[in-house]
Amino acid sequence: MIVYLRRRLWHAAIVFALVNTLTFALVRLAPGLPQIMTGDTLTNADRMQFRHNLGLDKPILEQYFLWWSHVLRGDLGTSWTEHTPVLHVLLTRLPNTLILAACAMLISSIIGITAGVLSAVYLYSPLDYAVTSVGLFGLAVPSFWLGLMLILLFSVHWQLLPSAGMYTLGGSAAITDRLTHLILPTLVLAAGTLAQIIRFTRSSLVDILGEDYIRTARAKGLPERIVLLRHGLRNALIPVITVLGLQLPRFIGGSIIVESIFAWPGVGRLAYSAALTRDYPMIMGVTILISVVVLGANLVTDIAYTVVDPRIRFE
Amino acid sequence: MHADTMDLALATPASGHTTSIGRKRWRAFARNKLAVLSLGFLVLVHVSAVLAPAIAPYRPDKTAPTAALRLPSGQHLLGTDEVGRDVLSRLLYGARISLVVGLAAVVISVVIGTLVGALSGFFSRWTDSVLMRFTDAMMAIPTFFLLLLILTMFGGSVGTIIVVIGVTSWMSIARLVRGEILRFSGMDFVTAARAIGATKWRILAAHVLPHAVSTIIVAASLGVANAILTESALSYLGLGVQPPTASWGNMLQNAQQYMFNAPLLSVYPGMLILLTVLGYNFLGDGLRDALDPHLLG
Repeated sequence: MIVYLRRRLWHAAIVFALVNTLTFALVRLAPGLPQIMTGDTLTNADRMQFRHNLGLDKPILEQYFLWWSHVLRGDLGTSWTEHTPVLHVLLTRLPNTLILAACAMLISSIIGITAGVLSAVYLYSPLDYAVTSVGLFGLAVPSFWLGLMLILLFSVHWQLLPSAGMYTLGGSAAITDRLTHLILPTLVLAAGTLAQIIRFTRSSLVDILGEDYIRTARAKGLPERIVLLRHGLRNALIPVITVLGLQLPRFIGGSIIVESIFAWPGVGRLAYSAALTRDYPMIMGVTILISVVVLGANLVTDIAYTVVDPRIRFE
Repeated sequence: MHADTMDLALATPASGHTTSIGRKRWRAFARNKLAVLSLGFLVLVHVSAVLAPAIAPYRPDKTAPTAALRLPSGQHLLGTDEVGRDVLSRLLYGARISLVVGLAAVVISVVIGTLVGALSGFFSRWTDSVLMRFTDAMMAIPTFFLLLLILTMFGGSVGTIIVVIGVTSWMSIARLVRGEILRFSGMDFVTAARAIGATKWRILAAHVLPHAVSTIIVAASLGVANAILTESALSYLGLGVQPPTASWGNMLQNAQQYMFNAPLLSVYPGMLILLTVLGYNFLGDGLRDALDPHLLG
C-alpha cells in the first residue's frame, strides 16, 4: 500500500508538471495580446515597455523555467488586473467554490444513490420512469437556463430566495442568510451530477442484480434487504465511485457558469475573467490550484477503488 | 472460432434459437417506450435539420426590423426575434449547427476514448501507465476550463468548437472502456481464447472489446447530449458558435435579454435542447437494454 501510494504520488507529480506545461504553452503561444497591453491610448513604445517589465521579451523557454523556479519557491506572481498576489486571491476565492462544490456533491450523492437504487429495484415500474425522467431532466437542461429559470421563479416571482452573492450586502451575514444564498447555486451545480449518479447507480445495480451470486443469495433465503444492500449495492457502487471522483473537475467547470449566474465570488468566475483578460499569472495560478485539487481527488478515488474492490490489481 | 460460438451460445439461451438476435434486440429496445419515442423524435429533428434549406420558410439571417418580436402567426409560425428574423427558420438552421457539433464531437471523442481505453486496459503495464497518466493529465484540467482557455485564446469557429469539445471529452469513455476491458480480460473465455492460440489483437478485438460496446454506445449517446449542452454553455459566456450563424445555444443566450417581453423566444431553443438531449439519453438507455445479453429474453 505504501509502495502503491508512493507510485501514485510520483505519477501525480508528473501529471501536475505536464498539465501546467501544456497550459503555459497554450497561453504563451496563442496569438493576441494580454488586455493590459491593448489599451487604445498605448503607444508601441509603451507596449514594448510593458513587455519588458513583465518579462515577456525573454525567450519563451527562459520565461518557462523562470516561472517554474518562482512557483517551486511558492511565488505565483502578481495578478496583472487585480494587482495583488495571485496566491492571496486564490486563497480568498477557493473556500467559496469548495463550499458550493461540497454541498452539490453531498446533495447529489445522497439523493442520487437512493433514487438510483429505487429505480433499479423497481425496474420499468412507474417509479423507475419517474426517477429516470426527473434525473434526465437534470442532465438535459442547459445549466445557465436552469439557473435563470430558478431565479425567475424563486427570486423574482415568489421572492423566496436571493438571486446573487454569498450573503445579503450590509446584512448580518448570519448562517441562515448564507444558507439561503447557497440553495439556488447548489441546485444548479448539482443537477447534472445528480442525474449522472442516478443513471450509473441504476444501470450498475441492474447489471449486478442479474448476476448468479444474487440468485444464490436469494436462493439461500437471505432477506431481500440484505441481498440488495450487502450483495448488490456494495458491488454496484464500484463504478459509481469512479463517477463521483470524476465530478470534481465537472464541478469546477460548472462553477464557471454557476458563479457567473449567481455572482458568486469563487474560483470559477476568477478563471473566466483571467482567461478573458489574459492575466497570465492568474491563469497559471488557477491552473495550478485546479490541478492540485483534482489530482488529489483522483488519488483518493483510486485508493477508494482498490479498497472496495479487491479484484482490481494493485499497480 | 470455438470461443466465438461459445460467446454466441451464452448470448442466446437454448430456447431462443428460432428468433434472430436482431429481432430480439429490437424487441428489447421496443419494450422501452421512451426510447422508441425518442428515436422517433430524433429522426424527425435530424431529418428536418438536413432538409432545412428546403423546408425553412425564410432565410435564417433575413432581418425585417419592422416585423421584430412578432408573436406566432400564419406568416411566422413561431414568430420573429428582435431584428425580425423568422424563429422557425433559425431553429431549423440552428439544428444543423447544434447537431453537427454534437455528433462530430462525439465521433472524435469515441474514437480517441476507445483507442486509449482499450490499449491501456489490455496491453502491458507500461502502456497502461503512460496512457492513464495522460488521461489523468487531461482530466486534471477541468475540460470546461480548458475549452474556455482555448476559445478565448484562439477564438471559435464551428470547426474549432467541434474539435475542441471532441478532444476534451474522451477521457471518461477511455476510463469506462479500460474498466470494462480489465473486468473481462481476466475472465475464463479470454484464457480459453489465449489457450487455443488467438493473438493478443484478436482477443482484444473479437473477445474483449465487444463486451465494452454497450458501455461505449451508452457513453456516446450521453456524449452527443453533453456536447450540445457544452456548446450552449459556451454560448452563455459568449464563446460558442458566433452570431449571426444560428445555433440553439446562441439563440437561447440571445433570448435572455428579452426574457420578460418575449419569453417564447427562450422557450423554443431551450425546449429543443432539452428534448434533443433527453432524446439521446433515452436512446442510450434503450440501446443499452437492446445490447445487453443479460436482458435479452
